[in-house]
Amino acid sequence: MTADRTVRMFGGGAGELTAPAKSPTALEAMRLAKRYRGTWALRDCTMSVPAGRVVALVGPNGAGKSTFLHLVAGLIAPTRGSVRVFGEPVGQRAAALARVAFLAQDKPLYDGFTVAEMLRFGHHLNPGWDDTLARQRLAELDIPLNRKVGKLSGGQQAQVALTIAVAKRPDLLVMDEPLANLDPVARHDVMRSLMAAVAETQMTVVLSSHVVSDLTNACDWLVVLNRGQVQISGEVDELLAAHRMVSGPAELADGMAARMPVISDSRRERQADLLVRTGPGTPLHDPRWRASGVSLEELVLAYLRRPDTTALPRPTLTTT
Amino acid sequence: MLWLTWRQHRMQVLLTTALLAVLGAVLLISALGAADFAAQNAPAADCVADTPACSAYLVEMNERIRSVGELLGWLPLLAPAMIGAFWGAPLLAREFEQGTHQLTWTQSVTRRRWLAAKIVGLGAAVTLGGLVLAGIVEPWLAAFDVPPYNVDRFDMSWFRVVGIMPAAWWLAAFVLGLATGALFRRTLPAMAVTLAVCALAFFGLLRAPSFYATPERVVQAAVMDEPEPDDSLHVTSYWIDGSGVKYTAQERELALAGPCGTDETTKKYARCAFSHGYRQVAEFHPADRFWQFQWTEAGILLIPALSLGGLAVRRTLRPRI
Repeated sequence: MTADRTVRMFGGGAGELTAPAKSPTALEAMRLAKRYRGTWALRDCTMSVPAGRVVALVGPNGAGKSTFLHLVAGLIAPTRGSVRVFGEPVGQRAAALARVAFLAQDKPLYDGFTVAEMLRFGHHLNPGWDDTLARQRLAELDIPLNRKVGKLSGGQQAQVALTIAVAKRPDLLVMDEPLANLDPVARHDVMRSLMAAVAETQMTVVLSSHVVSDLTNACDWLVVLNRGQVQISGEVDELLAAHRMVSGPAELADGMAARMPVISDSRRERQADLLVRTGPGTPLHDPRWRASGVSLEELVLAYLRRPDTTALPRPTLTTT
Repeated sequence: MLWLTWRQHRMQVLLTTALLAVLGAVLLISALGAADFAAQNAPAADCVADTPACSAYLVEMNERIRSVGELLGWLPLLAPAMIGAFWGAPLLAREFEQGTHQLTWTQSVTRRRWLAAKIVGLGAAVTLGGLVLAGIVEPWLAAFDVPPYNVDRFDMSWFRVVGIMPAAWWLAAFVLGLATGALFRRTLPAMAVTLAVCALAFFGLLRAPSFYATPERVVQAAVMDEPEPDDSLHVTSYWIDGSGVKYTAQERELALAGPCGTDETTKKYARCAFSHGYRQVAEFHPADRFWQFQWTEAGILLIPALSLGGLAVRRTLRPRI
């Protein structure tokens, strides 16, 4: 997986030489809100993701992840606000639909169709369909074309669904919990073949999960949704660089907390562990404090426990 | 889209075609038998009903048409119910139930085009199926229509298997199924409701055609063989006395028991009744109202069904769930 990412980053670097302008925005949500029968599934959700990213959308169950992804795929219409994909509003127009591929949570396929018929389905319904790519992928995965979809294993079904989404040749691939209900081997295989497809096609990917560890190696952009609002949106490396776990004497913790934003604060008898937001090179000044890096999982957990704290690109991150 | 529609609904299409073919074969055999029998045994067209040759012919023809006709009698109830439940109801309900709408509606074809292809394609197939049913029943009926035996298309036994009735019932049931599917989003409840509504419509409209227009009225003052013209739809018949007061059969029987006796099947009895000032009234719809009634019932079925279908389509096209 790391190798795939290196390929991708190298590809991105090569692209920058020819097109030095800043990468276009793949996905932009403006004050997006959705209400179902009186309850707000999503409220005031604003974010912007540059093209070419692999975006991890994480959040607890019921945070609004599925609602957000359904809005991006054009399956539902927002109550308020707007979503744009590559600058164009999402909606029921063939041109807009062709740019986005969506893989729903249960990876729905027509059970009675054979795999070959599912490909034919994709071919008939998508003008940009890449049949060679689809057949090649399935051949590599050893999925028999004449088998009924309903008779495939869960992992194989996920691969067929992913193949259909990728062979559509979208600019944005949206996946709702693509790894849910898969065994560990299938999770790994699906993720690996996804990253290979991403490396090949340069598409932007948004995938959701409530298990952060699934996504740590694959994604370079993180969006945390909590209680229907965006809590974090930013590049993974920048986010990690901007946060530190600092440990020091408990009696000095209040002084430290006053100097920088504290995300989580756990104190034992003598020692305090604070997860703080700092600039990359901000010195601690005090030798009694030790600083260490945080993992993505620790970072996400810390934020999820403090729903009122946000880490959004502008102005907080860029100015520190 | 045409391929997808065919691929997803080919079971229904093939099964309906097969059943129509079986019915066609049964009716063909029956019609050939009847035509053969009529060619050899038909007495003069104006034969008197109580002569042995004439009555034997009428009885035999009646027996032949009844044996198959009883089977056909179930079709106006069963066929639309099956069309609604198996063609209409699953169209949207199964997609919602299995979540495949999330797959299909995120391909590069708009929801509007997808739905239009399905409704137009399958609606046309259903309408065609209904017309084919009428198209195979009518020649079969014609084979029996050899005088003196008379087959009346306007008769309620045949009214709903000829003309445009099967097509109208089938199309209305299909659209109803589609609408219940959009409403319930689950296949079984949608099928059950479709079946129930089809049965209600059938029994509700069973005797309704009599009321599609004001019936014509014939007052008989003398003995006539048939007061109602051929191929008309009988509504009711009753007796009135000289001052126009209505009598039921029993009341008249009681009033006439003295002067005319009790054997009311004879012409003598009828003459006696007429001579006492009683008049027989027949109400009926003449044969030329056949198409008017066919279109009236088609309207009664299709206007509500299509309005409901329109609502269902609007609901489905709105990107809501």
